[in-house]
Amino acid sequence: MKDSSIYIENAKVLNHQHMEGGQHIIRLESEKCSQYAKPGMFIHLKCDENTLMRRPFSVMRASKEEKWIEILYKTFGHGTNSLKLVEVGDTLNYMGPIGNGFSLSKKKTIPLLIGGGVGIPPLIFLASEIKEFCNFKPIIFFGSEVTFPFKYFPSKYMIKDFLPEVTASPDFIEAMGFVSRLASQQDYPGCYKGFIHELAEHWIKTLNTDQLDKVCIYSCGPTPMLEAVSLVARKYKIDCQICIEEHMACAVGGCAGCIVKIKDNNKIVSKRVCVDGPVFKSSTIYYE
Amino acid sequence: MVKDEKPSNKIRSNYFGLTFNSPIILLSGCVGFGDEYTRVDGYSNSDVGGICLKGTTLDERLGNNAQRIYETSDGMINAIGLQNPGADYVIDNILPSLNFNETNFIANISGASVDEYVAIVKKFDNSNINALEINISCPNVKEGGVHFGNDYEMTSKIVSECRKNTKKPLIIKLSPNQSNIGMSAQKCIDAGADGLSVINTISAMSIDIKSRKPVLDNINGGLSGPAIKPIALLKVFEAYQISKKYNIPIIGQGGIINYKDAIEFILAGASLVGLGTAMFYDPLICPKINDELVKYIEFNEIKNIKDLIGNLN
Ligand SMILES: Cc1cc2nc3c(=O)[nH]c(=O)nc-3n(C[C@H](O)[C@H](O)[C@H](O)COP(=O)(O)OP(=O)(O)OC[C@H]3O[C@@H](n4cnc5c(N)ncnc54)[C@H](O)[C@@H]3O)c2cc1C
Ligand SMILES: Cc1cc2nc3c(=O)[nH]c(=O)nc-3n(C[C@H](O)[C@H](O)[C@H](O)COP(=O)(O)O)c2cc1C
Ligand code: FES
Repeated sequence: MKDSSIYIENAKVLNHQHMEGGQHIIRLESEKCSQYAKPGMFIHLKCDENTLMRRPFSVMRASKEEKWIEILYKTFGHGTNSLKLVEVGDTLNYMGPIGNGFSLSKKKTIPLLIGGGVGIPPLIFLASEIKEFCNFKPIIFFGSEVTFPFKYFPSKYMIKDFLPEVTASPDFIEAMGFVSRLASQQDYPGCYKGFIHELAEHWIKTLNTDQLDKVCIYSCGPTPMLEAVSLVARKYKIDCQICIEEHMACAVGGCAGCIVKIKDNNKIVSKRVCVDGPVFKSSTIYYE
Repeated sequence: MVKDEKPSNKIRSNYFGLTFNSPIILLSGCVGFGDEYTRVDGYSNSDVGGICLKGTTLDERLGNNAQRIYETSDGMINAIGLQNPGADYVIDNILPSLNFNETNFIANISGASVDEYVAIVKKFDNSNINALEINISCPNVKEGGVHFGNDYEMTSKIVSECRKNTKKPLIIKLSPNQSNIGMSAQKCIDAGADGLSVINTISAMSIDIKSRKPVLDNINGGLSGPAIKPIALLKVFEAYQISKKYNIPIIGQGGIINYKDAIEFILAGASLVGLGTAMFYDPLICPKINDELVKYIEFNEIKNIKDLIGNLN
């Protein structure tokens, strides 16, 4: 028998914010999930009563004291399009928190957070945990092809030997006292025009070997982005944890629908993204 | 969480010498190897009559590549490809960790040849498993699987060979991908089956019109969930016309998500009812269905759920 660690909640919608680019932030009451959620963990949510399958979403914020969790989602197909119609005061059913989140290492005092698109939310959670529980100074890169789901300004923090024209930094990260920059293929002011892994590599190149030794990458985003980030990690021999997405049915380890192939002692094994992940060491992922 | 309270005796029944506290059986491939759902707070294996373990082959199988599942209208298609750690591992490492006091555990066996079925059956025959379910209907593997189930001669051969090698209750899982399920039921019973599982998933596919590729890496998969319920119901009804002559129980399955569906299957001839896809939607659905079944029985002044089996007016 496993430890009962996934809770099913029938929760009131406390807030539902709609932003540009089909992005939404929903705050849900949470007796239990709020108490145990960790960055990288997710919830499995019934978007509406008539949709058979639940949808997985990363926890973006959790308040233990006020007992709520927040997710940020982008409208995509019929589940998220029906979710966006939910109003404050309505009830939603979800299960969580699910999976193994990111793990911070004492030795890796320079966390490098790389989040793309709907991979940004778990890294926002990770940044808040770093702020609350350790004195690490992370560097945070976010990328998006639609308007960023937050305000950003030219940063007051300079980065030595770094691209001077890339200045944009999210307001709330700046308020945490952390250094951050943004990337997009779109022409957004102050943002790096290109891929986020390229932006991260520009920064990595500014480090000396001592510093490089202290870096660990934490990343979440679309699969091609994670593959590119994993290659950068390999090139510079940096530890790297990635949070991956796969289609899910049960999200409790019962159906084996959500697998990723992992290298395990010269053998390839199938692991379940829901309960064995969704965070894995990038060096263990087997890309065919 | 283990609950002290067992479901009401109005829904308790006995088949193959086993007691089923509830007519609900959790279906193979949907609940891992029996304890995955115990991760969910409030869930208990003692709320169900039995649990079919994931399809097990002689040797370990990695299964198909991703993408393995896809949601369809009121259902889903899966092509897991029988990922499992192999019979020895299941027997040596998984069975000892299961609590057999809570429910019955049923092994689900798949092979690519008669010899493989027999070899696995022999292994499980020496274990403490409560019953064996022989899957001759998996749509997601290249060899064996559904092809066996559609061939009456092969069906007879597999069942009779398995029968020779085990005293455990032998349940044969039939495919809906055949025109005469009654004939298949007859062959299984003649060859020594103790029970029938009706139905496995229906062969299906989905196409992504943007990439113009099949959605599932395996191309075809098995359709499950409410979308297949009317088909499953008819197949149970047809199989029951044969099985009732021999008192062979049927585990009716395919799209059951509430007590009304369960009653329909029982009225069509099922003795036990399977839930698979419904667990993905609501992991705490079983105690709710148990309660509703009891209410239905009480309201209709019926003594035991058994009195409803095949009891169509
Ligand atoms: C661990 C994890 C965390 C996630 N976190 C977030 C998040 O924080 N914010 C966010 O916007 N999105 C997130 N996603 C992706 C999100 O689950 C999908 O966007 C969503 O399921 C799409 O549902 P839909 O009904 O709108 O799309 P449809 O295309 O109609 O969905 C059809 C089916 O495909 C599945 N599906 C479609 N896209 C994905 C995908 N990318 N990953 C997994 N399943 C998918 C759906 O769950 C559903 O079963 C996450 C996915 C995973 C696996
Ligand atoms: C993800 C998934 C995996 C399955 N794996 C197996 C399996 O290994 N062996 C088997 O006999 N049936 C398997 N099945 C079929 C189910 O046991 C069941 O017969 C079918 O899903 C119909 O019931 P449902 O509509 O309640 O899900 C699987 C079904 C699903 C959805
Ligand atoms: S979604 Fe079922 S095992 Fe992960």
